[in-house]
Amino acid sequence: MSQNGQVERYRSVTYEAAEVIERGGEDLESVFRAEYPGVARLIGSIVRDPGRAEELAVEVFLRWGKRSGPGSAGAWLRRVAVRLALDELRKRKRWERVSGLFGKNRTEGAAERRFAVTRTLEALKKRDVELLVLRTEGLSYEELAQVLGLNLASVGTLLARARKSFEEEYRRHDPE
Amino acid sequence: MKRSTVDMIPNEAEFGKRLKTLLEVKEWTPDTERAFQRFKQRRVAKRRWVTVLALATLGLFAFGPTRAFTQKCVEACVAVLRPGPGTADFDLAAWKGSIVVVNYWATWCPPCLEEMPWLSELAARYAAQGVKVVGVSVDERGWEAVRPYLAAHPITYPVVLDSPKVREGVGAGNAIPLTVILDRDGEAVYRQAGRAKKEDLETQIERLLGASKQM
Repeated sequence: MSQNGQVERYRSVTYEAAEVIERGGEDLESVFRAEYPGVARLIGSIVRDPGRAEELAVEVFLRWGKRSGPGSAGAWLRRVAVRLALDELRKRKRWERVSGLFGKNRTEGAAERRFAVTRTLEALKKRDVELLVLRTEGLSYEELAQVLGLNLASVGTLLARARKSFEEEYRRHDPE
Repeated sequence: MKRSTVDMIPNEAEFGKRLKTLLEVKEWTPDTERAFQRFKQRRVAKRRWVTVLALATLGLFAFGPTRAFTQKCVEACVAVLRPGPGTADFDLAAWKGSIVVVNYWATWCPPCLEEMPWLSELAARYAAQGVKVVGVSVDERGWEAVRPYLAAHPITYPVVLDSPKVREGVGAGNAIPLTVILDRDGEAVYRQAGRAKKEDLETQIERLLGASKQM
């Protein structure tokens, strides 16, 4: 009897088993595997730091394991992902301000321009960024209303306003 | 109504495409496998804390571990009493003075798994008489394999990972399942390599309990 064969056969009894019990039937591992790359890339697109993005993405799933809100798993995970990413930007901005006091120069020029979109997101209202980014991620109006706690009828208007603010702000950071 | 909101943003698709391009992070593929491992570790660590707190609270109410409590805490107890690295310190000598049933097993060993439910029942039944049962897992993947199995198939006795100290105490060979009974002096008085019989174990335990009563 090959031990490896046995190990393979019993591999189905993995962490999922424990999680399935805990979450009342939801399969945490398969959701993780399916959603993780998307969630990590979403955070990465905002914080622009792959290493940090992966850490935050894991954090998103830890929070999800604790409590999932209304709407589909994907939509909820993405909302939390955007929030964590924005918090990260804000934290970083504070830190930059502090280190600026001690004369550390920020990289200028090309790098700065590449991050024009990041600067724009930093400057916008939190809800506007959430709306724009989540819409880009493919969430429907219904899902946006659900995960952001908005009135469905106002989602379109809010999105249009958010888009306008984005355009104005972006032009400020990248005049071209 | 819905129609008019759509009309207000005619170039939404175009904007979405542009924002997507702006946000795109090139040349990066998130490492899902590594992330999942990290996720599991952190989750277990988190749960261990919750368990410690829960046990501490329960401890305030329950003076000693009652049978119901023992059965309930199964996985939690295992995690708390014998966290991964700590198993190296588990020493059978600490239980000297008690009758100890040591059961070697692994999650990939069907005969071993068959023994566990009745060993579990036996452990609960003789707990009051000071008989201790301990499972020793030889799983190569250690807790990663053992903990989920126990979560899905709760048992009433603690499980430790195989360690030199346990081996020394039992004189284990390489075959599993292996069941050994140690008497109050720590001497192995019964040894069954391969599937053990519940009745045999009961007979041995009763005999040892009877012997100690006479003393």
